[in-house]
Amino acid sequence: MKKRFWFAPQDVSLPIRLTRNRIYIFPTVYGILFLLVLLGMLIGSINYNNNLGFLLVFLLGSMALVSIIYTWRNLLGLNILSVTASPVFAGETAVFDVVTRSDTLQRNSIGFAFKKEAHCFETVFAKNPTTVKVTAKTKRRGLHLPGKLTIFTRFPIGLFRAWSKLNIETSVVVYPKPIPGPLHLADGVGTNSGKKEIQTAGVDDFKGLRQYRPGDAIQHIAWKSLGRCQGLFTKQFANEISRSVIVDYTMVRADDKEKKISRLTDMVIQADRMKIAYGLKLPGKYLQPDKGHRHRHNCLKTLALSDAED
Amino acid sequence: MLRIELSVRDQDKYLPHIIFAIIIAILPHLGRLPLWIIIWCAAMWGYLLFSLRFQWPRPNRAVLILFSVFGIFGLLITYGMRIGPNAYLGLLSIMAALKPFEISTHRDRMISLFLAYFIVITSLFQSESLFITIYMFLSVFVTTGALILINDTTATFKSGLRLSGIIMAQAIPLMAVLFILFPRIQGSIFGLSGMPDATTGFSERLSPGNISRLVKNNDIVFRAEFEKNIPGANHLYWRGIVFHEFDGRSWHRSNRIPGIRYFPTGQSPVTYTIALEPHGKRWLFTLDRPASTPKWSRMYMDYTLRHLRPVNRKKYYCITSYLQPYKGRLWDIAPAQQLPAKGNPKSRKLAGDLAGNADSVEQLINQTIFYLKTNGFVYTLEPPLLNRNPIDDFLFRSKKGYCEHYASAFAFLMRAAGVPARIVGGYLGGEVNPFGNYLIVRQSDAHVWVEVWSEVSGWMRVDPTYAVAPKRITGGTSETLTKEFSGSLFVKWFKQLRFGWDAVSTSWEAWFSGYSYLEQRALIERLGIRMKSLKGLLTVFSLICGTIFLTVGLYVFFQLRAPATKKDRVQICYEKFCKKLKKIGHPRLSNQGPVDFAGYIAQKRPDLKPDVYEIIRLYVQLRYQKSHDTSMVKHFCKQVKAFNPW
Repeated sequence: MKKRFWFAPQDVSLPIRLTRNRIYIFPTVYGILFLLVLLGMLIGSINYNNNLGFLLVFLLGSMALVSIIYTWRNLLGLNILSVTASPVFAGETAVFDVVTRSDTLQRNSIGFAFKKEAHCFETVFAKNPTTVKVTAKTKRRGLHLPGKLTIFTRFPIGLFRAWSKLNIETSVVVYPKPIPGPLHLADGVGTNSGKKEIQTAGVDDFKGLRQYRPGDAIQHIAWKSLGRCQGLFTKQFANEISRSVIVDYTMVRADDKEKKISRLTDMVIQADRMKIAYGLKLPGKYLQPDKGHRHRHNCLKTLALSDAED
Repeated sequence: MLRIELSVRDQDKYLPHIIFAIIIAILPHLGRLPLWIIIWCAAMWGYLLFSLRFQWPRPNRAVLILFSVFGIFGLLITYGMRIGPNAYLGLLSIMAALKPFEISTHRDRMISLFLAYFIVITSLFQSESLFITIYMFLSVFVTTGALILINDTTATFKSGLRLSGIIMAQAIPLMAVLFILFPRIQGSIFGLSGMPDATTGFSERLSPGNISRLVKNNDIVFRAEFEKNIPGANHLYWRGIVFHEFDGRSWHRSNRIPGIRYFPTGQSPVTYTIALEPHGKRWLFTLDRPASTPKWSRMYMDYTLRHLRPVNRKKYYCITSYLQPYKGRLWDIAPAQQLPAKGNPKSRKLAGDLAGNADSVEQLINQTIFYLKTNGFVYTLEPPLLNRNPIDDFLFRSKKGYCEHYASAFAFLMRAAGVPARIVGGYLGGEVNPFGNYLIVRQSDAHVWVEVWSEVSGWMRVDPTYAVAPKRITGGTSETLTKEFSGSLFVKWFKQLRFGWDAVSTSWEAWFSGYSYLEQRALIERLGIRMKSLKGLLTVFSLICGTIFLTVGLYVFFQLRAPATKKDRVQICYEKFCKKLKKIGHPRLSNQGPVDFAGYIAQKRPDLKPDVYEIIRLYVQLRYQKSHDTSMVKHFCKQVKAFNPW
């Protein structure tokens, strides 16, 4: 069994409850300053035999001691239920939804932060799950692991800080950063028909309704039929079906692989915005033309995780 | 929509509370701060608070530095190089006035509140009165409340204060134990002791104006608690300092009086305890002739007591005095006979005349008193100025004066007549506190009188002021000088209240300030622990540690365990459900999970199947799918309650 250092963060799987052995506590800078001042006062009181000085030293000291329990109790028993984040583009800040719950008491001013990231304070009310937005900056595409999540508190008087470091297995998909440019597409029917540029999606003819499939664009849902209690239907347009395109890696001209992927990312976004069915072709990978949010995510995730070579 | 809080910048949210905490901390010091610092603080804080309201601009860093320089310059002018508690307090106040300008970061806010704590600390080294003790708790309470506010994003000042109060209440038992058990030492570590700034009181020189200045001062000099009855008013002459040397204008204490070798003995001893307020000088006050010396003090041949060090903290001493006239041994009476060779010729002549008509010292005294009584002398606190021969001028021209003038003239006449005489400075009488059977002696009771030596009686006390203003002796100064304004019920009530408070605070202080090495040792030895041995010290040490752990442990036990072990409602309801089934003969086996159990019940009692399945479905959802819906919990419990297997 691997021996673990005392302060080392622990690999944990969610949900987790912060128990005694996961919580550390130490004076803050102010706490140390405070204790030094108390020590000085104690020496002064001894020297002058000043009983009121003694009384104040012991009052403040006892209050600091009691505050340790408050600080500790503020973290003890806090549940971390889940840590998830929606995908972001490279360079953007990912926002992790940390869902916490307290079974017993309200926990004031609990700080959450990933390593070397900005922290935020949140109060976790008793009994109800509270979602805390914890940010992490992303740099490059791929699967971003935010690292250790530090949960800390300096409540109530800021002299002591209790913390718990958790190595949570969570990640966020970081899409490649799009590089804007023209939309080069290969026709979905025949790949050899050459490049063509599409300016607009145009006004399409309404063709009919079909059963709703998850991922269909919200604009195309037939709300009227939903109102008539007939269930969810999606409107279909004449040229949507006919026109399907392929976003192809080999057809993009760019200096290097990363730029190519960035360009492809931009094209996927554009195609999605135009609401045309598009497929994605990468070396050794092919996604059938489709549309909708799920398809967009699949394409962008594929691009994010791609390790394609020329 | 006028009430939108646009004006409060986020960082300024805490500004009023921080300023409030500092003001509370500084309030008891107002009397000790020079006026310009008070105005300075008020101006800074006023500007800040108004700038919050009206969006006034804030000074930038350079201006603040300039202000600090001005402030320190002002301190240098006010205090010079006298680095004492007052200068320290002044510095803290100036910092506390400027610091709130810069509280944009958490660090600044913490430091600002630490400043408030520092100011609380400084008040302690000035006074240990009950008032200051209670005020200290108030101040710590407010400052900690503000500290909670700035450390807890969701707190309001009210909730901060509430939590501060709770923490303080929980800390007090521990504080009390530490206070009692923390080992005290005798004396001081560094040999340093506090230096209060020159307080009012006697000086070593008696010159016109000394006493009349004191009479207007109502500060308490000491309290005296008698073991038995309080002696009559004609005995309550509290001797402090004896003036032997006369230079023609003023009287001085002599440095050449030797220390006493034999303590006096006599009849009618009176035992009393004096709680002397710090006065920064060395003398201690006693009635006539003390029979012993308190600790750290020395007695002189003129029966004055001097402390070895200036009295800078409250001093308690218990002493026995003899009040009977002293037949006394003859010691060097030379210092009580000295007179300047020249000056005051008329008085010298008067003394000669009086002495010529008298056969004994007693007769001379009576004649002199008679002379003062009959020649139109007036007792006043605002006498005219006297010329180069002050005794002559007083006796033959102005005839207006107060105790100092009468004592001075009387002693001069005695010496000029060849009788040894000396002036004694101290306090006369005091106010009896009906709640505490003790006397409160104030600066306004300051008095000087004369002691005359005769071969027959030894040193006799003569109070020439009595001849002119008898009420001064029996009724105190205020009665003699101003019309007593009483009668009003409120005044009486207020006086009662004041006496009551003084009684409570005096007995508190007597215990509290007096608690030191000896008291601690006595207390601990009463508990059966010998402080002198290593074992005893270890016992005390482990007692302290034990109390800390016990307090913390108890707290953790009661505060943390109780809610943590509380079962949640879902579990309670589920157990209720199982209990119902157990009653009809189908207990849940320990190895049966909820789903297995439901199947088992369905097999045994098909009639219950739909109800059981529904309950188990809800339970599984609540328990294992971590559903947090409270309405669902309610629904589940309702189902269990309605479930009837009979």
